[in-house]
Order: sequence, then structure tokens, then C-alpha cells
Amino acid sequence: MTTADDELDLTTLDDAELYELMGEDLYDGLREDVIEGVTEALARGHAAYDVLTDGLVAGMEQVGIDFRDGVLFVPEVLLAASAMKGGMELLRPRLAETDAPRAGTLVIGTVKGDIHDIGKNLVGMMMEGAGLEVIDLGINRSADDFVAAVQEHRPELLGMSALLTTTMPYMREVIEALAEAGLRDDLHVLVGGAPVNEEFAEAIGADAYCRDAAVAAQTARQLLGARTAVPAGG
Amino acid sequence: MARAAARSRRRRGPRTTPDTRAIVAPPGALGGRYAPLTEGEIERIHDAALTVLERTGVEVQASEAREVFADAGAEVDTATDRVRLPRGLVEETIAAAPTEVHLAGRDPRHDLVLGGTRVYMGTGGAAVKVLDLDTGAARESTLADVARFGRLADALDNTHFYLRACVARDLPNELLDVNTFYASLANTTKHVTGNCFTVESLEEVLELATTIAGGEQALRERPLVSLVTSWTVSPLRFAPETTEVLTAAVRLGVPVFLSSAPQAGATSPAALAGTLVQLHAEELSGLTYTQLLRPGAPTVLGYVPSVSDLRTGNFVGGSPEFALMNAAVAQLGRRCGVPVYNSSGLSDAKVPDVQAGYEKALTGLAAALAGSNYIHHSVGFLESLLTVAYEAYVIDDDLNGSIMRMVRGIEVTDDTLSLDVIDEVCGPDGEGHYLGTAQSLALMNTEFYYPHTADRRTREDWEADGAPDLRERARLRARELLDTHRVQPFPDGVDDRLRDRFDLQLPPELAAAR
Repeated sequence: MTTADDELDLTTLDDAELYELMGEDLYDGLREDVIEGVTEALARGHAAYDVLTDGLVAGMEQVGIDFRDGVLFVPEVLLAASAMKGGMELLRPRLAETDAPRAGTLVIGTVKGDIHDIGKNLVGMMMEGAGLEVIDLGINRSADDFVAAVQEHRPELLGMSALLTTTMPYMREVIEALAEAGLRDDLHVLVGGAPVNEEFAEAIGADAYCRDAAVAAQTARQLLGARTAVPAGG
Repeated sequence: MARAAARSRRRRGPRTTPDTRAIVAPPGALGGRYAPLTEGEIERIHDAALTVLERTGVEVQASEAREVFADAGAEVDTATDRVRLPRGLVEETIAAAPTEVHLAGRDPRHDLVLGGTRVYMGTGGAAVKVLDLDTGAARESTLADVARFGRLADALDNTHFYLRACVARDLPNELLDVNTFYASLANTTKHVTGNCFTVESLEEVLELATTIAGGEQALRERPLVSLVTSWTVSPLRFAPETTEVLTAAVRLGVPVFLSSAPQAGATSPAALAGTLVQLHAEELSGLTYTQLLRPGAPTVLGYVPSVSDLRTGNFVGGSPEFALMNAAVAQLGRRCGVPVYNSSGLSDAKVPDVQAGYEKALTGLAAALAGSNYIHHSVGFLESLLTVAYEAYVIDDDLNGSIMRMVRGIEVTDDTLSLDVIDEVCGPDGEGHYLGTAQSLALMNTEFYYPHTADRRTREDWEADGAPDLRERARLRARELLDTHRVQPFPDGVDDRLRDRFDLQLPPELAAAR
């Protein structure tokens, strides 16, 4: 099997086969193979945006569906996300040069007083899997940290998480600080964490509550789709 | 004489069932019969944990705690915040830890002696939601819930301590800790455990407890409160703020539970043995820390191994792997000769249903039979620790009574072998049955556990009663206990002093001990 793969000469494939293989490699979490596929597609003169949507995003959509349906497990999804990231690293500079819609940037962090980060990390990896650039601020982050990161990276999305009911209210302070800095309106704010719910998200003025990492990635794609009018997954 | 006494007893009217709970399902019964790890496996895990501390180390940011480790001879890498602990340092230091930790209730009948294989089961927390007793729906937990769960814990026979059930989400952070401890202590005479978010609130809680105990000396001799300190966030990281609280608590002499809760597959290795190695290393690093701070400081190892469902990444508290690991940690704690706190008897079910029942039975039984000393979360917990329910308190108390009966085991003595009884009943003059023997009469209240809520009636009787299911029967009992149970009050004048001193938000009618 691996021998056959190793010997496979990508140049012998037609475009449809190349993209199909790229999607399958992504699904299987084969980072190096995905990078090879992306390289080959670019060498054929395909636009980076087409490689992204026809190859990578198509593959990740199947990953998302099968994760939701319990077919794929988290470690498999993370492998696929890592392969996606590998492909994106090649595409991102090229995407930036063109006027193609941006895949989007997410700044994410655990709020002040809280240092629980497994959920936040999972969301970050899924977002990368959805093709976003992820700036992870880490744990125990103050409103100033979030504001500074938003100023620096100008993301479309900001994600915050908290595990404790005592630290959860701090999310409101971050949102208020963003508003004071005049940054709130250009940003979708996503919140999550075990004690957080829809009602709380609404009360503090967040744009969405994401109950888990898969929902977060889905929400991000929907929000970005609405904003940039690209197809879901763009 | 004897006949006269017997007659007068008969004349006393209807017989009341004697309180034989302490005999049937005794708090502190000796566990240890279930041992998922062999002696050799315990040694391998212990040794591997020492290797982790020596090679990988724990992450401790620049702090007083790091200074303490450095002064003791640990290798501190300031670039990566790694503190590596030589195995000799760990083993020498933890030898100072007490083999027993004594915890007191306001009523001495509820005192706990943690250590060896003595088993106690109690509540846990903190949930953020409650199944409302009237509507049955999940809602945010409040201070009134902290009080009412405390009162229920006081009333229930097989709930041996009250670790505050839920977060008072109707309070601002700065009022949370002192109000939570007050609402708990005012509603139960059992030992109260909780947490403090800051050193300042810890000092308030201690002042509160000192006032109730009747002075500092009295509190030291009879610690009415103890502290859960979740000082690590797995893998192998000290949480700076909680570590400060832990440091203060140890210096102030408060008994502490070193709670660490890695999830296999997510924040600890997917291999169960690997999770035990990492968790044991975390516990050893914490125990080393408390014993460096103050040799002999009352410390309980707080193993809370759980599982991450790798299909979703969700926390799992009701799985067979959870049961295995929470039993194994009792063995690891005993290896160090230090009491063990763990988590069992919780469920991932959303309501008290069949799933809740079997998950709770599996994990609670495993930990108890293994001889874990302080089994928390074992009363009322649903939805993977997010929700707590009144009717689940009542159901789980019966489950824990049954478990404690199993921990007590089978007494095999000349008497209980029953040779004479058998010979008599089956002999020429025997009745052919045991229902009326002196032995049955003598043992009917002490050999068998009689659950309050399990239905053992005939189908006809059950149907005639409206065919109530367990949840419905448990709701009735919960309401009845909350309405009728009276809690022993604080000593005279104490409540007024507390209310003068602190901003206490609990309505007086919910402070049962007032």
C-alpha cells in the first residue's frame, strides 16, 4: 500500500484525480502527501483559491461530516487538521497576493484567571482545519491582551473560553474593552467552555456560543461566509 | 423478672426500628479487597512517576512555590519554567506526610479518620446547574441550593461528608467563598469541604470556621472545614493562583486535598497506566510541595483520573475505565502511606435514569471496594459534573448504603457459620425454615441493608400506589426530608456574630442551624 503510494507519480493524474486524491489524503491525515498534492496543483498553474476550495475544503467537509456522525475520532480529525494546515501554509502567501476572499483569521485565548485550555486548543486546531489562520494567545489572558492582539492581527474572529463560573464573566469585560477600543464592530466574537451557554453569550454581547470544537469551526465558516460572500468553507 | 421486662416492653406500643445504620453500612468500613493493580504494577507506576518528575518535571512559573522547590534542591529551568525533582528529594520529603488525616463534623458522630483502607462516601462539586425539584428542568445553581443540598446531606444516612454541591451563581465572586461555607456549615453537622479562590477569602472562611468552632485551638483540634485545592492543570502544570491559596492553607494548618483531574486521551496519556503515572507524578509533586512548606501538614492525595471520549473530546465520568483508574489510585495512595481522595459515583446521564444508576454503581463500587478514603462526587451528580439533583441525592444515598454494605463484607465466625441453627431447623423438631429463628430476629436489622427508595413490593401493590418510578419516589423523599429535617443549631449567639461580621446573603429561613 505505502509502496504503491510512494511510487505514485502525481503528474500522471488528471486534475479531477489529483483533487480527489488530495481530499482523500487530507481525510487520512497524510500531511506530506497533501503538501505534495498542493505543490503539484500549483505547478500546473491552478489558482491558489481553486486548490483551496476544490481540494482542501472539499476534503475537510467530509472530515467534518464524519466527525459529527461519530465515524472519525478526535485524534483522526487532528491529523486531518494538521494536513490541512500543511497545505494552507503553501497557499496562504499566494492567497494574500490575489484578491481572492481571505480564509480568515482567528484570535483565541482563555480568559484571565483561567488556565484550563484543552477545549480552547481543540477549537484552535479545528479552526486551522477549517482553513483559518489561528493566533493562540494561550491561557490567563487579560482584556488588554485580547485588545492588543486584535489590533495587531486584525482578525475576523475572536474566540474566548472559560471553564470556571468565576472567570466566565470576564468575557464581558473583554467585549467591553474591544468596544471601547473601537474594535468590536469589525469582529465576530465566539465564546465557549463547559459552563457557558447561548443565553450567557447573548447577555454579554457575544455573536455566538459554540458548544464544542466542531460547532465552533462550522460557526466560523458560516459567519465568514456571510461576511465575505464566499461559499461555505471559504 | 425477665418476663416482666418483656411484658412491659410489649406494652410500650408499636415497635420502632432501631438505628442500626452504623452496623449495616458503617462509615469508615475497611475496603481494599478489590485491587486492579498487582503489587509489582504499583511499584512500576510509582517508579515511573518518579522518573517523570526527575526527567520531564513539572511546570512552575516564577513564584514562591518555585523558590521552595529550588531551595530544597530541585533543578529549576527558568527558560522553560520546568522544575525537576530528584527522586531522593521526593521520597525523603513525602515521608513526613501524616498517614492519617482527621476531619471533624460539628457533631462528633460525623468525624472522619482518613487513612488506611477506611472508606467514606460523600457529595462533590461544584455543579453549575441544578435539576429543579419542582419543575424537573435544569437551571443555574444558587446559594439557596448550596444550603438545601447541605441540609439533605445532613439528613441522609450514607452521605458521610458535605463537599459543597454547586456554585452560588447568584453571588458576585468576592462574596462567593465565605457565603458558600456559611450556607454549608449552617445546614449540616457533617464535615464541610470547599474551595477558596483567593487567599483573602480563605482567611475569611477560616475566621468563619473559627467562630463556629469556638476558637483557633478548637478548630485546630477539630477541623470543621477542609480545602480542595486544584493546584494543577494537567499535564504537569502548577496553577499559579490556586497554588498561592494552597500555600496559605498549608501554612494556616488547614487540611488540604490535592486535587488533580487529568482526562485520559486529552490531558494525560490514552493508556490508562500512563494516565496513572502522570497523575501519580502530579500528586507526588504536590505532596512534596506541602511537606516542604510544613513537614507533617495534613494533606490528602487528590487523584481524580477521568476519561476524554475520543469521539468528541467530551469529559467522561461514568465509564469502566474511570472505575478502574479510580480504584487503582487507592492502591497508589496506600503505596505512599497517605490518605486518598478520589472521584466516583458520578454519571454522564442528564437525568437520574438507568444510565445514571449503572454508571454510579460501577464507579462507586470499584473505588469503595478498593479502599479509597474520601470518595467525593458520589452523591447527586449528573451530566459529567455539570448538574446536581435533589432526587439524585436521595437515590445515590441508597446506592452508597448498598456499596458500604458490600465494603463491610461477609463476617465469617463460629456464630455466623450457623451450624447449630442449621442443625436445629433441619432436625426432627425443626420448623424447616429460618423465618422465626432467634438468629433471624437478632440479625434482621444488622445483616441487611434496606433501601429507602428501591421498590421491592409486588407489582399489585406498586400499581395500586400509582406505579411511581424511582425518580418520582426519590423526589417525594427529598421534599419530605427538606421539609422535616432539623439541623443542630450553632452555639448561642454564633449566627448573630457571623452575620455582623460578614456580608452573608443566605436568607435566615434557609440557615437551618441558626
